[in-house]
Amino acid sequence: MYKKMNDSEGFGFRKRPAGNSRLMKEYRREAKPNSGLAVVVGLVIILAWQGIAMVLAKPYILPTPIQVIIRMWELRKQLLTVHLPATLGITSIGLGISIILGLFLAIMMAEFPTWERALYPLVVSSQTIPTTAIAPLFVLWFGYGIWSKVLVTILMTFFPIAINVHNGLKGVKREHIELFLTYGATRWQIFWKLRVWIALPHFLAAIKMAIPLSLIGAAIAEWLGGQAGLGYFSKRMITQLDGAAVFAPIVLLSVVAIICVSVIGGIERRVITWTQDR
Amino acid sequence: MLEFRDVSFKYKEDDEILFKNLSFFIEQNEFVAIVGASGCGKSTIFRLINGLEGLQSGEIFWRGRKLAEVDHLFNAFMPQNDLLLPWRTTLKNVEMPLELESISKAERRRRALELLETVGLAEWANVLPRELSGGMRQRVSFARTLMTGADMLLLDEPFSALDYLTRLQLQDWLVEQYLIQPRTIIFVTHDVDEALYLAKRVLIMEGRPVQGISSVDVPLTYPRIRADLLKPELVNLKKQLLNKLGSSTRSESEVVNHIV
Ligand SMILES: Nc1ncnc2c1ncn2[C@@H]1O[C@H](COP(=O)(O)OP(=O)(O)OP(=O)(O)O)[C@@H](O)[C@H]1O
Ligand SMILES: [Mg+2]
Repeated sequence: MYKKMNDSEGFGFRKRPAGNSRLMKEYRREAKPNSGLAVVVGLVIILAWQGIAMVLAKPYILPTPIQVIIRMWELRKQLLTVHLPATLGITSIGLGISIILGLFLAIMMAEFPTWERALYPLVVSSQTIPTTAIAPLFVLWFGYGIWSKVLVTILMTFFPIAINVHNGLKGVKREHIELFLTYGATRWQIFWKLRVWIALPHFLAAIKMAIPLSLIGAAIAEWLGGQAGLGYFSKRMITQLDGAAVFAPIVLLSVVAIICVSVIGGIERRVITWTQDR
Repeated sequence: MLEFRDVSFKYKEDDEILFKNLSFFIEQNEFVAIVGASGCGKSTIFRLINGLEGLQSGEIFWRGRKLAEVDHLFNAFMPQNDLLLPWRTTLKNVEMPLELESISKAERRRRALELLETVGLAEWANVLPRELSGGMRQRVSFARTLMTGADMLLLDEPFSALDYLTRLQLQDWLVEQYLIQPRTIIFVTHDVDEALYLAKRVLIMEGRPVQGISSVDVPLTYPRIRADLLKPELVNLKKQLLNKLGSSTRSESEVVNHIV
C-alpha cells in the first residue's frame, strides 16, 4: 500500500555528545546521586555520636549507638511482636484511608470545577495547621482507642496526597486533551488514558512523602495516649530513665520508614520508566 | 470537500478579532498548503475544523454539510509538536486512535504495525518515544494520524521542529505517500519553499489580523525535484508570496535581497 521508508536513509539514533567535559560529568552525577559519600557522612555522624555519648557518660540521657543496638536486641520480642505491629496497624489503616480520601478528593476537584473552587483553597490552607498541636484534641474526643490515632495519621497524610495527585491530574497539557478530543475520546477515556498517567508519578511521590508522615503521626498519637505502639513504648521508657530503650523505637521507626520508602522507590523505578534520565 | 464561508472568529481571551469574513475552499484529494506569519491564526483554522472552538459568524461546510451537523469528523489532525504519549511505546502510540474507538486489540495492533512499516519504524515498535530522534517521532506522529483512517489530513507544521536534512527527506516522503494514496491534505507551514515544493495550491493568510486569504496555484506537476523551485516562474511566485506575507514588516527591496 505504501512504499516503505528505509532507516539507512538517515533518521538514526540521535547521537549523544561524547560527554568528557567536567561540567557534563557533574550534571550526570547530579542526575544519579552517588550514595557512597552519604554513607561516609552517616558513619562520621554515628561515630561522633558514639564519641560524645562516651565522653558524656550519661546513658539515661544520651546512650551510645552501641548501647541502643544492644538494648534493641534485648527488647526485640516486645518491640517486634507488640509495639511495631500496633504502630504499623495504625499507620496502614490511616494511610489507606488517606489514600482513598485523597484520591477521591483530588479526582473530584480535577473533574468538577465547583468542587475545586469550594475545596482547593481550604485544602491548601489547612496544610498550615500544626497537626501535632491539635492531635491531643483527637485523643480528647475519641479516647485512647485506635481511631484517635488513625485520625491523627490521616490528618498528617491526607493533604499531601490530595494536593499532589490533584496537581498531577491538572498537569495534563491542553494540547493533549484537544488531540484526544479530535480522536473522539470521551471524558472517561481522557481520564484513564491521559490524566491518570500524568498523575501517577505525582501519586507515587506523594506516597513516599506520606509514609514517614504517617509513622510520625501514629507515634505522636501513641505518645499522647495508648497502651501499645512504638510511641507509647518510648514514652514509658522515659519514665524509667532508660535512655537506650527510648531510642530503640525511634531507630526502629526510622528503619521501617526507610524500608517502606525504598520499596515505593523501587516500584517507582519499575513503573515510571518514561521520565527517568538514563 | 471543505469550505469556509465568511467565517469570523475571535478567542474569548483576546480583544482583537482573529478572522473576519474568511472564505476559502478545498477540493477533494487536493494538497493545499496554508502559509502565514507566526501567530496569524494558522493553527486556529485547524481548531475550527476540529470543532474545538465555536465560530462568531459564518459557516464551515464539510462535504456540503454544515460542520456543526457532522457528528463524527473524518479528518486527522497532526499537531505542531508530536504530542506522543511518553509512557506508551511507539506501537501503542500509533494504536491510540483506534483504541479510543474500542476496536479490537488484534485488529488495531495489525494496522499499527502495518503503518509503522510504512513509515519505516517497524523495528522501533516496542521502544518509548524518548529513545527516538525528532524525525522518527514525527513519523510516528504521522503514522498515528493515518491510523484514524481519515481521508483528510490536517498537518500543522509537521516538520518545522526538524533539522534541515531530515525535513527535506520527510517532505519527499510525504509527497510519495500522497502520490501512492491521494487524499485531502491541508499542510500548515510558515516556510514558503516548503509550501511551494509540496502543495498543488498555496493559501496565503495576509496581514495581522488576517484581512483575507488568497490562493495561488503552483505551476508544477508531481513528482517534483528541488531544482524546480529555481525556475524563473517559481522564483517570481516566491517573491510574490513573500511580499504578501511580509508586506507589513519588510519593504520590497529587502524581500528581493533575501531571495537573491
Ligand atoms: N487557545 C487559545 N486561546 C486564546 N488565544 C489563542 C489560543 N490559541 C491561539 N491564540 C491566539 O491566537 C492567535 C493565533 O494563534 P495560532 O496558534 O492560530 O497562530 P499560528 O499561525 O498557528 O502561529 P504559529 O505560526 O506560531 O504556530 C495568537 O495571537 C494566539 O496568541
Ligand atoms: Mg501554529
